[in-house]
Amino acid sequence: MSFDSIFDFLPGYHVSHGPIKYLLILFLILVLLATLRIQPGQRTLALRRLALLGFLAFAFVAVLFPQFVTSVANAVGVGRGTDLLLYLLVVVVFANMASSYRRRAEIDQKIVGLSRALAKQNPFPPGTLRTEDISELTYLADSVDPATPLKPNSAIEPEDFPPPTAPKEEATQFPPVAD
Amino acid sequence: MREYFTDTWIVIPLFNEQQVIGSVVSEVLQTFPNVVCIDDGSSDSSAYAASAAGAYVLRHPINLGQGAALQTGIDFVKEQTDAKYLITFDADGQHRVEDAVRMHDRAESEELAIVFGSRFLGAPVECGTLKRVALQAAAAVTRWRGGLQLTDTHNGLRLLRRDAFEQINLTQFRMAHASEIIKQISDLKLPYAEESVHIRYSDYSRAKGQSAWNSINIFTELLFK
Repeated sequence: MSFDSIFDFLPGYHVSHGPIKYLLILFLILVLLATLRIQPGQRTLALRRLALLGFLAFAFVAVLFPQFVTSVANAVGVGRGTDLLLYLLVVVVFANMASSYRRRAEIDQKIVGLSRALAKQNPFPPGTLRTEDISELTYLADSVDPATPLKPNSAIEPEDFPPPTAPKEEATQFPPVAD
Repeated sequence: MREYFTDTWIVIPLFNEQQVIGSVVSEVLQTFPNVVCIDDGSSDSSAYAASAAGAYVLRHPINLGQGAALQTGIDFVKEQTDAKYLITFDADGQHRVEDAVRMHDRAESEELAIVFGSRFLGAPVECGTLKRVALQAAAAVTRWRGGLQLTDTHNGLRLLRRDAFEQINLTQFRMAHASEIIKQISDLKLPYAEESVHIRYSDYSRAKGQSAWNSINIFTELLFK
């Protein structure tokens, strides 16, 4: 049984004969592999630029000589040039989805790291969040006593910052003795 | 005489719970003196209420998700305190302090690194059928995959000893952290146990996201993991 007959039971499987199926599957596998292990760096950037140049060259030729696309399509077993473009578009859409998903995940991690750093830099000991009117912009300013003007960086002494163990020391005194 | 668990920090991820967080914090503080709330970008006055009630408050400038808030709290306890135990606690008042006390005592007496709360070990649970089925399916799949032998994998009440919480690093910052934390603990090969806890399903917590939609989320999470 040849590879080509595996999906014979599917209606329409044999509508188009030719290498297009193998080429598209190959494209998809390449896209999958590329998204699985992308090494950010100069090589990726260079490849991306080369791909873009190749795509532009193809686009110019396709615009100037529409018949060229049809002959390429025929060569890989697709009837019309427009159909070939549609198939390629599908591949490009999937590649784009994969790469933008990966990029969004990276950005999300950076945002989490940034927010966490801000949160840890500025712990509010009990009772020090003084305003009930909390907006996104006041989350840092709240911890600064409005009566105390901000010092320039050069004037800040180490004791201006609570030592790392401060929360624990204070907390062991909790709760205050009632009597 | 009351006991004060000074070796323990309670970590409460907090997002828009201004109605209940004050009373939750005060109740916890009667037993556990160290409470830190991680305000996950609440748009109400949750952070203020928690601070006024006597908790340390760390504030995410924007909403990131419960997993991210938990990890921020874990980082804080790891870096800024010398706590021996960390207990994660939900902000909506569904957990009971006496359950946390029992988990702490059990960790001490049995030298456990992790104690998970489980609502399915003791008395019948007062929650909807769909939710119960979803939760028990999630636990069954975890067991079947060779993970930890748990009956409730989505319980917000957990105790972690320092050697455990120092090695936890949650990257799933939305709801999938429940499975992630179990996966990481499973990899640590530390002694663990499950303790029966009671979940107080109030009208408030029911309205707040204990809905059937959450069960669907738990199911889909199982499929796409």
